[in-house]
Amino acid sequence: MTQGLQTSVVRSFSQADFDCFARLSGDDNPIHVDPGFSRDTRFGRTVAHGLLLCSVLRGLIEKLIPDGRLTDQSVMFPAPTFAGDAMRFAVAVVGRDHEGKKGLMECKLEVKRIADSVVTCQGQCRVVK
Amino acid sequence: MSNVSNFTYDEISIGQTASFNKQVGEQDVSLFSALSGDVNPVHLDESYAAGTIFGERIAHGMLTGAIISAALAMELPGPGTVYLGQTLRFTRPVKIGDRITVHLEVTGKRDDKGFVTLDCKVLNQNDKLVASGEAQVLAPSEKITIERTSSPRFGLID
Repeated sequence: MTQGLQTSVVRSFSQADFDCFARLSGDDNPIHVDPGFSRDTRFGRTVAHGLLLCSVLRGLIEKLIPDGRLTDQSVMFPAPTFAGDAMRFAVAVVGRDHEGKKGLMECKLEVKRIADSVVTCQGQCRVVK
Repeated sequence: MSNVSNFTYDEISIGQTASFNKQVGEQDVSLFSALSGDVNPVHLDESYAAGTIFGERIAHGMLTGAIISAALAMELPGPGTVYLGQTLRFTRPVKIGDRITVHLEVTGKRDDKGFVTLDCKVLNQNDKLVASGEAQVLAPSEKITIERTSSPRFGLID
């Protein structure tokens, strides 16, 4: 029974993580890497790349469903993730044999700031195992 | 180094397109494994990967997602863009050494919020679709130009 299966991890990022992800992806958006520029934005400081959150979620999915193939994913970023904030990354299997397809699991994804329970990433994905 | 300017919300029109390409290297896959914690041997272990249906090591699908994020931030709308959401469908594996190109096309604008919707298609060097999806972003309201600083190659330090 894989339904009900879930896992989570607490992680906080540093500016060095944002810089590292910028080099990896090629996404040098100053909202992620330039503290001076970011001071004057709506957020007031640098924020994590959305795909950095998705990358950590992907690692969690692999731990929950080893060797599962991610077929598709849909996420929203309703609030920014700042450096230094402890975030809970959570993945839960919410359905299996989705749409009659054997081995296709539907997962719920969420990233939440622990201090005030603000959700900064939420969505779902499907994994074939 | 080169300079990159953005397109503000008002400068963006439906049907506008842009593209961004990147070669997926060995170090990208190692670094993505370290950052994400996804250490499946299909990405990292040549002999293991040889015994899978892929026959060789493949890149993480979410690394392709990261390159879409770069296309939005560096090309259209460009620097200052805020990511609101992304759908992704992975259709073919990306192998190490593949050069993938992200093609963006503006499909919607929401004037009251400054939101822009873009269709995203990612093709490999053989023009085969590896991933597709839709991005939702908040386009910049101010024109800015930044210096592109990425891509100094670097290794992992334990």
